[in-house]
This record gives sequence, structure tokens and C-alpha cells, in this order.
Amino acid sequence: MTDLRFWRTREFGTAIVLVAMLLACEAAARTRTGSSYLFSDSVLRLFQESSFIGIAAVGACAVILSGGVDLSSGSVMGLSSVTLAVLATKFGWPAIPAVAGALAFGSMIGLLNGLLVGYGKLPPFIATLGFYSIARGLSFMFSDRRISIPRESALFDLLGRYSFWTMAVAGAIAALGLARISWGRYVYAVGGNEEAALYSGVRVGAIKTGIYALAGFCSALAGVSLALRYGSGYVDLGRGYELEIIAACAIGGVSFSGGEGSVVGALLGAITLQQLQNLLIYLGVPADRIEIAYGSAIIVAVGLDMLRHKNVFGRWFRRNGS
Amino acid sequence: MTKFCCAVLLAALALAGCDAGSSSSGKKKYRFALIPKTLTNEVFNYGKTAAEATAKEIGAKEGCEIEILWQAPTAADPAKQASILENLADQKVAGISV
Repeated sequence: MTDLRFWRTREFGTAIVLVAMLLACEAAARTRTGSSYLFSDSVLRLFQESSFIGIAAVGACAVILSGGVDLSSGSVMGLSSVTLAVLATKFGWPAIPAVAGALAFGSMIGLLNGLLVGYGKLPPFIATLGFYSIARGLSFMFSDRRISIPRESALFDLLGRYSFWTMAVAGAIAALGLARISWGRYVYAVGGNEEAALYSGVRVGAIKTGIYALAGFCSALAGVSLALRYGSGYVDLGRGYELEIIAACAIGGVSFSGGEGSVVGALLGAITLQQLQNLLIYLGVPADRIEIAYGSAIIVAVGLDMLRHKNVFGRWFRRNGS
Repeated sequence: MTKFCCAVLLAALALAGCDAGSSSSGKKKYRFALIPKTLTNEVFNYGKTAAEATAKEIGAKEGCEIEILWQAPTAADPAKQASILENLADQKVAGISV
């Protein structure tokens, strides 16, 4: 069922909420400081701040589409940041190999996740929970301190400063890949009905391995970007981010039963969650309530989406008669 | 869907309206932001109490209203702290302490 009417898509609901929150910020800014919110660099910063969750959400989205979940993404972010810092400072590697090394390490963790899930038939929750700890432990092994990364090279500067472009490019590539090439169709097929996909000749194990490797790569890219943005790699980087990444996908309408959702939705989800926090801080809401609002938003968003879904089915039945 | 969109937009405007209403008082108002590393470290709570007490004291002496904004990540996270800092700087608060 492909519905081309864009206002019917799950992403549109998220986009409306995002626009509403931006307008609320605009109104608050006008009454409070008399200056505009939308036409300052705040919006650019919104993209910048949500880009780290966003980049990782690109990979997590593919994982969730396939019916799995990736709990190791936050730890892989930390691991890649430490790897980058160690390679660049202790070993004195130039920028490009250092970044490539960090990304390769993250992808390797993802690949192992994928092998365990795809061929070892481990539940994704368990396999990635294992690597959640293993990746964090590995980063501790490499360095138990915060290592500052001098942003001397152009590549470091670019990755740190323009991570929203990284998010846009990664998102565009993944969105195209999922929509236009056969691999993407297989991802949806595996998530929609794994058994059916298997009997149709889809190499489910290989597809899953690839998906988790992609998720590892995206998490590593997010970790590298975050480390370069704030100028240091450390063990604790990205702690707890895996849940925010999953939350971004949920808010963006990626279904947890697999097979439904899109990368665009996941990115919108990441931006919306960041904007929710920005708005509440802007309105002077105390920090503890922000946490409550954050959690409520996730439940409300997914709940509304489910209700809407039911409604769609109801209409379909009425139209076609029983 | 259209109803849902309208409801969301109305809610946003209502929220903004409340905000406009609450900031109307005769006295000059200053907003100071304190951004500790994390909400869960009890040591920082002394800072909050002291800041609020001092705000009241100075406010009474100078005849102005001083509001303390207390914002922090729930777990120590420099990236989130930086995000909060930039957000509050955007609001042009009178001062920020990290």
C-alpha cells in the first residue's frame, strides 16, 4: 500500500509537531527578547545539535525496519570517539586514516552484532545488549581519560562543524538505498515478514548482517562527529544515547514491529526531540519536568500513530464493505 | 489528520500565549542561568539554594526581580550541557554560570 498523498504519511504528523514547536519558540522569542527565533542561527543550531542522534538514527532506523533493535549504538559512539582520539593523538595518525580507523572499528562491532543476529539467530536485544557492554569496556581499555583532539586538520574541522550536512548526506544515501535498490526492499521484506522473505529466497542472514554493520558505521560516524564537535574523545561519550536514538525512530513513525517507517521519519524524529527540549528550556520549564515531557512525548507520538493506523483500517473496511 | 494538525497548532499558540502572559510585572526583571554538570549531584543543589537566596536578597535590595534558571542534563554529558548553554545564551539571559 503506497499512499502518495503526503499528508497521510506518518512523517507528516511529526513534521507538523516540529513546525508547531518552532512557531511556539518564535512566539516566545518575540515576546521575550523582541528578536526572531526562526531567522537567527537557532534553527541551524537545532540541526547541529540533533545531528548526532540523527546520524546514528539513520542506521538504527534500518535495524528497526528489519524488526530488530540496536542497543549498542551509544557505546559504539563512545568507542569510536576514543579510537579516533587515540589514533590521532597517541599514534599521531593523519586525519583521514584516523577517522577511517574509528569508523572501521565501529562498523566491525556492528558487523559482529549482525553475524550474531543474522547467522547466530540470537535475539537482537541480547546480541546488542552484549556489545553495549563490550564496546564500553573496550573504550575503557584504550583510554580511561578524556583525550582532547586538536581540530587542526581540515577534515576534523569539517566533520565537527558541519555535522548537520553529514546527517543530511547519510540520511539521503540511506533513504535512496532503502527506496530504490533491491537491498532496501529486502530490508522492508525481512522486517515485514521474515519467514515469507526467507521462503522467497531473500538471504535474510546476509541482509541482517549488512544492516547491523550499517548501524555500527552510522553510530561510529555520530560518535566521531560528536567528539570533533566538542573537541575530545572519552569513554562516557554517548552514554544513554542508544535510547534517544531509538526514541527518535519511534517519534518519527518507524514501526517497532518492523517493515514500516522511513529514514526521513527517523531524522525528523531526532530533530523534533531536540526541538522539544529546546522549547521547554526556552519556556523556562525546570529540568526534571523536561525529562517527564520527553517521555510523555514518546508515548503520545507512538500512541497517536497507532490510533491513526486503526482509523485508516476502519475507513478501508467501510469503503470496501464487509 | 487535519483536525489533529489544527489541534497541535492551537496548542502551540496557547503555550506561547501563556508564556507572554506570565512575564508581565512592573519591576525590572533579570534572568540568570545556572548550568551544573548534572542534576543528580547533590553538591550542586547547595549552589541552587544559595543562588535562589541571593537572588531574593539582591532583588529586595535593588528593587528588581531576579529569576534563577536551573538547567542541566540528568546525567553528566558535556554535549548536552553545551546545548543547554547555547539555548540559554539565545534567550539573552543576563548571566550564565556553568
